Amino acid sequence: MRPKFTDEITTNPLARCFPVNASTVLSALIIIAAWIPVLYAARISVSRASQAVLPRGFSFLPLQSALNDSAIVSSLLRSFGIALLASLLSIVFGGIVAVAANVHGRRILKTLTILYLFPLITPDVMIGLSLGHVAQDLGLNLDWYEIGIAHSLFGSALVFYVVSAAYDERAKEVVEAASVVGLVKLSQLKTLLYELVGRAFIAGGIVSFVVSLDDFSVTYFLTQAGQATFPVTMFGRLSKGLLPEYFAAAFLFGFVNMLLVVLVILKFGLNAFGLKEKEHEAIG
Amino acid sequence: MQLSPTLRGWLNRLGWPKVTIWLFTGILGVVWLSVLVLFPFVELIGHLISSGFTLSPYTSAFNQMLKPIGVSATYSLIAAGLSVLLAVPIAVVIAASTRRRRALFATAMLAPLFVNLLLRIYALRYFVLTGGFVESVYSSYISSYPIFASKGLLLIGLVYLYLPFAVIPLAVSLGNVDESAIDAGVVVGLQGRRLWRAVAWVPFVRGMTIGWILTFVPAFGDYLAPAVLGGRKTQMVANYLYDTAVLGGDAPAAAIGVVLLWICTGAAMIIWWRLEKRRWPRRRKHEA
Repeated sequence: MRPKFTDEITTNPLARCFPVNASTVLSALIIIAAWIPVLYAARISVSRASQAVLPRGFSFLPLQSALNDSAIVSSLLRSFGIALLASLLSIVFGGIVAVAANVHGRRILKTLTILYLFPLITPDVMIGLSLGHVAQDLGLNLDWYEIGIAHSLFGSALVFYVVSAAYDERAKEVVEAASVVGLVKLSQLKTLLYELVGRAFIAGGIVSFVVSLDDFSVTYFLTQAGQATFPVTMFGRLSKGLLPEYFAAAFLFGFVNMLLVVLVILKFGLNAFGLKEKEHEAIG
Repeated sequence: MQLSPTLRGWLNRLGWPKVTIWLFTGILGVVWLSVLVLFPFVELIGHLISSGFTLSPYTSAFNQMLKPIGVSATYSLIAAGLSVLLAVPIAVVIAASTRRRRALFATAMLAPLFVNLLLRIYALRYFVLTGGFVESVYSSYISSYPIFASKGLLLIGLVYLYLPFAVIPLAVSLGNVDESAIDAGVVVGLQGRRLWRAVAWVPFVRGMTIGWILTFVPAFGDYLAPAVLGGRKTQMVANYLYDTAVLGGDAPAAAIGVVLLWICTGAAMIIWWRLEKRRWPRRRKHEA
């Protein structure tokens, strides 16, 4: 017999000290409220009305005209290039550092855990203004790859946390056991680490790719004329008024992001976001 | 990858795993962060000192910034508080339900976070604000009086943007509650609120504090929400900095603003550090 929802809940020991059923109702309401603007944007992006906030009819024309706009398409391509570079750099500067720190031990891991928090909680305006100031002083002409390097700052922190979360006690024990039995070749260590945290590298890379693709503030403070990314282009357009084609382009872009995140969760689980997976078998 | 015997012998003498680890953590981690975070900060301080160390332009810049700082602090304090309160039921469901259910709720909560930020914020604006969907329906069928002032909308926007930042640390903290302690509590007859107070209170408060910090700091320095939802009269720190430093070319104002924000972030980091110290208790001698 299929277990009831309440039965499944009570199998988690934590449910004994929290009002889970009331929380479920409340959180469902909050989540529905969070989805309403997204669904509204989706509806507007296939609206027949040319310039109205009340959607009318159904048409793919907004999407078609967005894809025919050369400025939108070029900014989209630039955004993807920046995000790709940022995620590759993030894997190197976040993922490899996380493995090395975890292998080494808790002291350096503790220090780096605090250090890598810095780019995540630093307001974007500070990162943007500081880096822009340095670029101006050094006479750098901020090109797309320099924006990619700036994005890798918070991307590497994200990858660091994702890989650190994946490198759990079991992984530590396996690596210790490997060192005891004399596994010293780099190739052997590489294979072992790939088996243990390889998925976390991919998950972290995708998360940093998505975050870089969506970044607005840092890019806005660094972007020069002719180098605008998709979010910066959209900001300029949407400030002037609501047209369904802008929403269509932004929705298509956001949909790709969301699909990537859902893919990460389905493939790699909630560990990718630092939420530990726990198995509680349902009764019934 | 096979190393040459000479190089391997040399690395073995040095203890190569240590060298490699220090190379990776030191050069890749610390240097990279320093180049991108510390160097710009030092450069800004240097700019402050080298352009003549007279305090008057900085005191006047600071005085001009007081109002945006006050506005930012007020909005971000309220928004962070509301976010943490709203995060509690979601975090409870994520932490205390089975694998399938937590995956569903976490995905439903996290997915909108990764939909384009601009899309969400403009959708919120057009959905609610004057001329928007809600207002259109409201004015057509109920009343012509505006239902939301822009200040209220800015607060809703900040909560909407940063709510997931409060949910994740709280869910992680609650997920770390020791299950054997719950069992022990049940054995000694504790139930409901008393069990929660005895077992989950400390991780709950820690998760709420970290969630509050993670929501407050980015909300304090947010540019987009006040620009789109705040109206012309509401100017937060980031908007002020952009207008004066980027559009107006006023370097001292930018430098002071960034330094003030660094101090704010540093304070948040110290609180985080103290909380982390509790999470990483000092090893006892016999465990070392």
